[in-house]
Amino acid sequence: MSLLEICGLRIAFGERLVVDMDRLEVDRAQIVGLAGESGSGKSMTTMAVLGLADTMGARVEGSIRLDGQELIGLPQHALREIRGRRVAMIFQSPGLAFNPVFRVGKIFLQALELHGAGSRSEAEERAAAALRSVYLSPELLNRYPWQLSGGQLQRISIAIALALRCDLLIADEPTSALDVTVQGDVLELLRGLREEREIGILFISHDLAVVAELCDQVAIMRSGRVVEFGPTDQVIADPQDAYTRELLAAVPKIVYRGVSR
Amino acid sequence: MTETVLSAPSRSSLIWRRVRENPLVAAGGAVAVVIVVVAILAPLLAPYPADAGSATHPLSVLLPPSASHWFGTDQVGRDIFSRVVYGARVSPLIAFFVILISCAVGIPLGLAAGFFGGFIDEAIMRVTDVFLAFPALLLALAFASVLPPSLTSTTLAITIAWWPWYTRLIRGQAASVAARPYVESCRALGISRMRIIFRHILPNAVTPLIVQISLDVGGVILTASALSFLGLGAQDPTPDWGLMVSQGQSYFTTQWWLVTFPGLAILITALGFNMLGDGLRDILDPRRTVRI
Repeated sequence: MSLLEICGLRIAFGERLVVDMDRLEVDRAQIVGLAGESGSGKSMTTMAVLGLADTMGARVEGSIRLDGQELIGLPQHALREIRGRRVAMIFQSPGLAFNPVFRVGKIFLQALELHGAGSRSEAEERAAAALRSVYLSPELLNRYPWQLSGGQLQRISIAIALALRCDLLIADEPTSALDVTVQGDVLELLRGLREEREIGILFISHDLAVVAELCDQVAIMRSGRVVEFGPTDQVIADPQDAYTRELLAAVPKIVYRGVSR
Repeated sequence: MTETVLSAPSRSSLIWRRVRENPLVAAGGAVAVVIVVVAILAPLLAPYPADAGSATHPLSVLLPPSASHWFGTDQVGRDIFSRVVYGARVSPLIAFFVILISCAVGIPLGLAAGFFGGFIDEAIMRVTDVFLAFPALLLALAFASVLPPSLTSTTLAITIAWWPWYTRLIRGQAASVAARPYVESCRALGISRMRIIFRHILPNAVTPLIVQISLDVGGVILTASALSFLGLGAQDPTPDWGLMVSQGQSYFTTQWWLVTFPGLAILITALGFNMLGDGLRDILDPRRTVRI
């Protein structure tokens, strides 16, 4: 049984079907890429996994199972228990994903206390340990979000997911807003999560180069449908769908032009 | 474990620094502090505390300003300075309660409308639209005229005209804050809606309200004075500034001091709070560069 199993997921706003997904699976200790152009339904899929799609006014049908437990149709209070504790999420713009009014630590500890940290001191300990494992000083918890860089904030997001001891991490374009070197650090961290903590990661990206580097499996989405799903190497080396070939052709390549005289 | 990290200045200390550097806020804040102090210490500051009430002194009516009566005396011989000092306990207090009740009603409604949207939004905002369709002063006048004239009625009448503005202000802010990514990340962390609304949306939506409130203190005092002036608010012998202006108007051409001093008190108070509001807007809104 996979960690996350999506079967026949259909999400619609009124008459408009925005996601029509036959199958997507994420195993423990596996990174699955979900790639496709903007508006292809990647983010709506993640919203549905978090149980937030219907609060946005969408109609959700089909099956989303986490460890065999059906999520669709669960009441919000049960979903709140799952969000954060079992499924964590990191976002595209780390600078905007933190409430500017609170120090980072406050948000961190609030999340921990909500999801199982017994006491304040236990929460603080877990937060500090998680920060060290993403190579940040626990002192940063006393800073406000706007006093930190995008890369630091993204690592803190990952640390929150770590400290919450989630099973599934949804990363929605976590590196798109970061510069290339910081991008590399974040990808390295995600790999570490897979190896050491056996977390399953659903990695949303429009950047096939990043997906190819990081993911074990990749699903290509177009206008709400998964047009191709398989091991990354296979999809990249031998794309079956015309759209996948198009996407691959669109990846910019570094061409060494030589030294001009 | 021995990394040194620069300790970050807190948000409140940054704001406090800007408060001290902003003359508008300093002046407006000073006026506000003076009014509060005068209101609290009125019995000590007023040379004739009894004159704030129904005392009459037939032998000293309509005396011009002098050393014993700094602002002169009124048509029944009461010391106007004492009455102006005690007046700091009337209109500013009305303003305080009007704004307090308006916030207590307007903020939760605005947050609900902005956060939930849809039907709840429509229902709340159409009701506020009905209230907003009338000019605030006119609406307050209408309610004051059907209620028995008293300070409580004045407060109530102005409140009825005032709360919808706060609802609308907070609604717009809440709706825009609710769409920000950190609200989404709060949801993804499984934080409850009530907690999101009050801990995450309200603090980020409240800045324009703080500015509006400080601007409104002057507005409410003017409205309360207008109601008193028209005989619909405070009644004699309450030492209300608006009422004093109203009662003194028939003497204005010959005994100017009856109207002038309470009028100045209204002017300075309204001006002070307006400056405070303008200054706070400059400080709290980082997008506006400070221009003075």
